[in-house]
Amino acid sequence: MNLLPENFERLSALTDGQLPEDEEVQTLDWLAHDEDAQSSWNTYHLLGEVMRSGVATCPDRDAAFMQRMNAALAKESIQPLQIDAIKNEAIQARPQDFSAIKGIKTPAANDAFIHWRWVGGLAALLAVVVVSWQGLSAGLDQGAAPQLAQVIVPTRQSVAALPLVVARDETPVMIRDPQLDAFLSAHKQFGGTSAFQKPSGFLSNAVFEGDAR
Amino acid sequence: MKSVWALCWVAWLLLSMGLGTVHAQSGTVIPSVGVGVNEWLVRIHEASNKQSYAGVFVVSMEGRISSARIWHACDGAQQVERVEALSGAPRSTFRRNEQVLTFFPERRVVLSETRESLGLFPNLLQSHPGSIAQWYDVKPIGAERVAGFAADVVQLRPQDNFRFGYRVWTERKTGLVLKLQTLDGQGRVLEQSAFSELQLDLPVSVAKISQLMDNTQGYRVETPELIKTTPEAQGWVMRSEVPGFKSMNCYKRLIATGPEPRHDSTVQWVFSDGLASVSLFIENFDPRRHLQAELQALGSTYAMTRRLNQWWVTAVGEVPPQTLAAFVQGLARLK
Repeated sequence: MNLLPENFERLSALTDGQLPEDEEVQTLDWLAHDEDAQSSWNTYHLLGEVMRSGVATCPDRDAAFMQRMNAALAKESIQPLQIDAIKNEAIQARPQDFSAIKGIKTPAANDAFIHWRWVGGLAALLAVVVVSWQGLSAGLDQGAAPQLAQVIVPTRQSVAALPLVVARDETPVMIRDPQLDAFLSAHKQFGGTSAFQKPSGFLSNAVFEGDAR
Repeated sequence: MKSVWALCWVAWLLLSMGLGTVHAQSGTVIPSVGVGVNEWLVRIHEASNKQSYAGVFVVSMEGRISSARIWHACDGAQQVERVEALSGAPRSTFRRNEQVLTFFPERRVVLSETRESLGLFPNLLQSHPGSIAQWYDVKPIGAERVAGFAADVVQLRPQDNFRFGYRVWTERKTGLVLKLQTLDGQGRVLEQSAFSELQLDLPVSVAKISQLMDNTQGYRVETPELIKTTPEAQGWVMRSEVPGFKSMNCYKRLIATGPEPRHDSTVQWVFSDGLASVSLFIENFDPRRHLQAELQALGSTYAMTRRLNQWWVTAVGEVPPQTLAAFVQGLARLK
């Protein structure tokens, strides 16, 4: 791409997120390889930032920083990873044979005195017994069983059983389905007759309910 | 004859006392703002008509938080707004006065709507003269800073159990609503919306936002079908009114549910007390879909369903469940 005005217009549209998809690849490619495009890209962002927040960031300083970092990176000598060797090592190692993995081959200092595998097995067995006992207790007496972790279960409440005032703690959870979403959307669209609708209600609905459609 | 005159006199006295009370309440003065309730509502409404601003708007309810970047501009004749969602499905919402377009880029669909409710104010106050002050106890509760701006805080506490309360933070100089909370009967916050960042008096261009809004190229534009009607024409009446709520509008619309939109029409009857609103959706009962009467909630919005002979009623509103129950119970079929 050359330095035609329409190319810069495309770049500006890309900055605003308005560029059609079919033009994005070409424009990004130009941006990646052309210094004028990169300079304009930074300027567009700077303008946008000033318009939005009134505070200018400093892209030139960022560019200088990137140049210094790229130069420093170029001086670094990096040994390429031996991916094949690691793969082979991992495949050949049996599950119990941790000695094949670096750093874990040293035995525990007190291995000679305590059989850690037996201790681990016993702990696992105890855990299974405790969990099973809790499950069994819950099944036998749901009301009396203590709840160790709070589980959020959607509840539905019959209207016939509805008390005049529902405590907030008993609030039923809204289970979204297409029909209810359609009604909620219609209510927000045509039912939002409130003095707060324009100053706040419309924004709230647009922010929160938009993804429910 | 004397007793008749005496009764008339007592009735007149009671009536005049009642009217006087309503009048006095509608003229309630909010000291820190220095105006009455209705004037205060007009002021916060006008603030969005006169100010250009940009910022980040955050809505939270039941542990869920959604946010969007907002641009708002006005030029006297028109008010435009751009809302770019920062959370949830990608979408952009544009508003020009009552015209609203929501772009869903993933589906390449634009939903085009005319939201009559956005143009109701200040007529809404005229249709509810004094009623907001009658049903809500309005008082200033102090001053705070929101998004870096000094704000007056006003609380609207409901006078009965048929509505929720509100706490409103308005920017001191302009009256712009910076933060709004909906509170239940125990004063717990059900829903909150607030600016987390705000820049006032920015040179936001009405033309630029309008231009973006009108560019629907590459999108399929969907417009919901809607017919304005009256409850009576649809054969419905509210046998017992819910205190403070007045009938606002009635529509017959095609509701898109699931992959195929249903072609039977659903009646939507809208009520409002000036701050809270309720929609009653009335459709034909379908035993395959309408299985059980339910009550559900999301933030301050409740939804209640109930069968009424061969009809199925869904009441939706930012009100406590007992209000929806009262609406559903009051609904009756005209003979």
